[in-house]
Amino acid sequence: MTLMTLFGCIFIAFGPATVIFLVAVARDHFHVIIMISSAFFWLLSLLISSIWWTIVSPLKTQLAFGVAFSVLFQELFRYAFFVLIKKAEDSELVSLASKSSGLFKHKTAFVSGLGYGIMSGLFAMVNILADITGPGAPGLNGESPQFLIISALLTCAFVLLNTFWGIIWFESCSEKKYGYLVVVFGSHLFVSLMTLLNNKESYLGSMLSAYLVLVVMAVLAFKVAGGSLQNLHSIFARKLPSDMRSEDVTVVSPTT
Amino acid sequence: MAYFQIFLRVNIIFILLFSVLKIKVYGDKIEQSIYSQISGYSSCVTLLNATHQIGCTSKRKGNVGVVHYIDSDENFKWLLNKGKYSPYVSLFTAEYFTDDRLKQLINADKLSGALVLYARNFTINGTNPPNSGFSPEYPCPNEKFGLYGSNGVYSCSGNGSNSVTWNDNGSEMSYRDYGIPVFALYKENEINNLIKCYKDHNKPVNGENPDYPLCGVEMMSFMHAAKDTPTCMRKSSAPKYTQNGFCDPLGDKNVWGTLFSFADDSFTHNDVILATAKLDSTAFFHDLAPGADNDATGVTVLLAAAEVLGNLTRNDSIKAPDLKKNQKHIMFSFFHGEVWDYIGSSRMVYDMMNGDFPDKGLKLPRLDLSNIAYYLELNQVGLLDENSLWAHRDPESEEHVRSKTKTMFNTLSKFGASVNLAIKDPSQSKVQPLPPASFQRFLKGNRSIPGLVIADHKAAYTNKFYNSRFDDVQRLDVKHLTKLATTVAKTLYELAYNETNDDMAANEERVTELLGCLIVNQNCSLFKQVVTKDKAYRLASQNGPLPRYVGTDNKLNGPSGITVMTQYLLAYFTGINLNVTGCPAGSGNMSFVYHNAYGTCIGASVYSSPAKSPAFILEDYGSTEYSTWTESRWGNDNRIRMFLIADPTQEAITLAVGIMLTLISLVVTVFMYRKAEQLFTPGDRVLVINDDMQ
Repeated sequence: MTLMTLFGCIFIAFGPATVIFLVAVARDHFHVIIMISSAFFWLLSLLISSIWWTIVSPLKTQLAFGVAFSVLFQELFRYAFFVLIKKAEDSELVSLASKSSGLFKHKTAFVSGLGYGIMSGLFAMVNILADITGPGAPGLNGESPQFLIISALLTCAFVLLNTFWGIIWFESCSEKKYGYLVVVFGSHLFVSLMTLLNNKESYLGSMLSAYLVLVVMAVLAFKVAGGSLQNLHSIFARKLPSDMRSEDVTVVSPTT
Repeated sequence: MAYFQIFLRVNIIFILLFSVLKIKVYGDKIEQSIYSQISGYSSCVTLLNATHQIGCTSKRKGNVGVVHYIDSDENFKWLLNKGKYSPYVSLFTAEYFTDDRLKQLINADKLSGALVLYARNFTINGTNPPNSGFSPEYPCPNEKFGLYGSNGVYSCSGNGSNSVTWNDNGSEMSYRDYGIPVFALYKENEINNLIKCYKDHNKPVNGENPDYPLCGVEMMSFMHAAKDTPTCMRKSSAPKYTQNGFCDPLGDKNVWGTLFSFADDSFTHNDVILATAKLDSTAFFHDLAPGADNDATGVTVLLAAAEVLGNLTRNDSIKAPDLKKNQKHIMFSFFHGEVWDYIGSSRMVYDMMNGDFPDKGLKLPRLDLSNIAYYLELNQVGLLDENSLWAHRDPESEEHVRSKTKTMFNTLSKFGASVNLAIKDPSQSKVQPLPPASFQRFLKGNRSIPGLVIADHKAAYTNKFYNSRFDDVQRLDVKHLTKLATTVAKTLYELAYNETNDDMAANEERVTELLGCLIVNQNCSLFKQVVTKDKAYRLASQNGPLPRYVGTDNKLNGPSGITVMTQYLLAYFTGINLNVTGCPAGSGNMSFVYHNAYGTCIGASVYSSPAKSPAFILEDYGSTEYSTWTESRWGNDNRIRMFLIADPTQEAITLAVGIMLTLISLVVTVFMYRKAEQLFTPGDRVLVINDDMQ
């Protein structure tokens, strides 16, 4: 019976991410590589967080400390990854690839966010998935029976949040809009700290905050990537954006 | 699933690093919050014989069921008629754990497992034995392998004019093939948790089925063997890559010893008196067989009698028998595996008939059935029937044997009377057969051995808990056991030396001590005193009585504890102190020489002989003559755990939400991907790559 729960949780937690990957990334080998490297950077941030947690003793008793530093390291590594990508853009190969689409830069930011998110999602969920293959469900010692679905929904939120954070973070780094950095770091810290409330058997706080922040970040990322209500409207109005503005875009590469 | 396993592998590598960090988000280790392991359990096991499979087994991946507590007839009926969440695992109190109820529930397809409460000292509610008695044994134990068969005048189960149903309380539970796992639970806190879980989640409310979530358990004790011994042995002998055996023959070692060594004699006629008892017992749960009245009393009395005789040899009051003067050797023998169609005794008889007894390596004169002058068996002797013990004899023996048996009986009852112990003839009013006893196997080999079986029942057993986990609840009387030991010692002496020695009396303290060691706690001063230093050291970490179930023949650590201990006790009681420095092994005629825990060198004529059924030597696995019992090999995972079972509707909702979420994201993603160029068109910006690298 619990195979249903198992697959339900897998679909909830990783369904959207898998769909995004298959539809938007998988055919693009360059971005697949970026995604995997980004996932690796998340692992590095985890390693550093763990070492930090091990050597700094106050972290061991205070989860909030650990969470804060974990968020800090994750964002630092996101920055490090951005720097790495920038360096890579010097190469001929990347500059060739980048000419293929006007959205190349944003897509790079988006797949690195996705890689980050998928890896963190896996770590959040795999422990749980491994344990729910048996016949039992949580609740023996008073845990909420909704625990599994909540965990899966939170994981889903974190995967998507990381994707949006990735887009915003890269934009703010390349455009030097440092206000966005604060927004990303602040919201990441906020959502992570809210999950601490889960220990008190109340999932409402963490769920609400995670999904509210998710909506805000989605809108922000949409805007940052060049989207606008007008564009949306024009698509639904079944006509092209006014006076074919896309033709006006010129791609300039300073290296030429 | 391969995908999933990759997840797991990734997980294992990093789990150490990450486990603590993730706790922040998702609580404690999930498995611990879902499952509660139950560690205090004892399981029922699958056994096979020539034609049948008995006992219990789970499916390979375990059996899961909803817990239902049965402590009243009402609860039982509710489960049978109203419970709708099949399969269940019923949790029985001792009183309601009966064959009848189990069968009804299994036939109604309600059960996937059963549990029963157990506490050795009945400290837990619901563990008290039923007042009416409880014996999962056959009403006619070992009948098919005994002397009288299952038909005829003296058969037990037949309608013969002289039949006696020996174990009239027997429910045959141990011999059913239930096909589900059945465990006994004995840890109080775990039992309380389980009952609490039942009461919180599963207890019917106003007779109606409760709502989800339900309290469930998973029981895992998979048995590899199936059908019967011939099938299993055939499967085991076929070459396999995965497994090289499915079952093992039951068996252990018999213990035997003599007051004086046989070595310098050779036997020409009736030269040996055999005094025997059985070492084993059983119960529905093999580990929980206390074997108090069943075997401990006989062993105690025989050992105490051996000590009385041993004391006289040590102070030289008894000399080695002169066979030419018609004196006889006294031999003590303890048989193992007697519960399972007389494994130990049938093997000794088989060896005697084939000239293999004693083992040729021992360089002792050959002992044949015809050399046995008298046979005295101590069966269950701890209780009393009509205030006396009963000396059973074979009604079908020939006249000259009968007169010798009469002599034996007269001697026995004379000495019994001298210590105020009544030993009576149960065939006085109505001729009746021998009760199930090792002696039957000797008579099967040679009908002209005069012998008696001393028991505490005139006809049907007085022990209402024969071969059950409750065998030790009845009050055993140390006083009459002591008297019986004295009587047995005197009788053996008179039969062997044709003279009386009034200087014999068993020591009541010693009998108390022996009985206590055998049925209460093996970690006792007497046991620690008679064995070697290492063994005494090992005993100190043990608790409870020595296990009584015979077990399989190929035990990793040699013979079972009770065999080894009996051997040391017999040596200690009948042997002499050898004041030899260095304590050479096998000095003189002594075969069993060792330093006891106090450093004394003890030498005795004590031996062990195989107690493995001849059926496995003859490779006749369908034998109707010899025991064919085998125990199934167990699966690797044996466990029981408790958890909550979620509402299937809620599980379906989870799955539906997952699929919907995935589908919605599919639509959105495809839309955005297709329209990306239009969606993400900045109004007036020029995309500049590498703008800040300059």
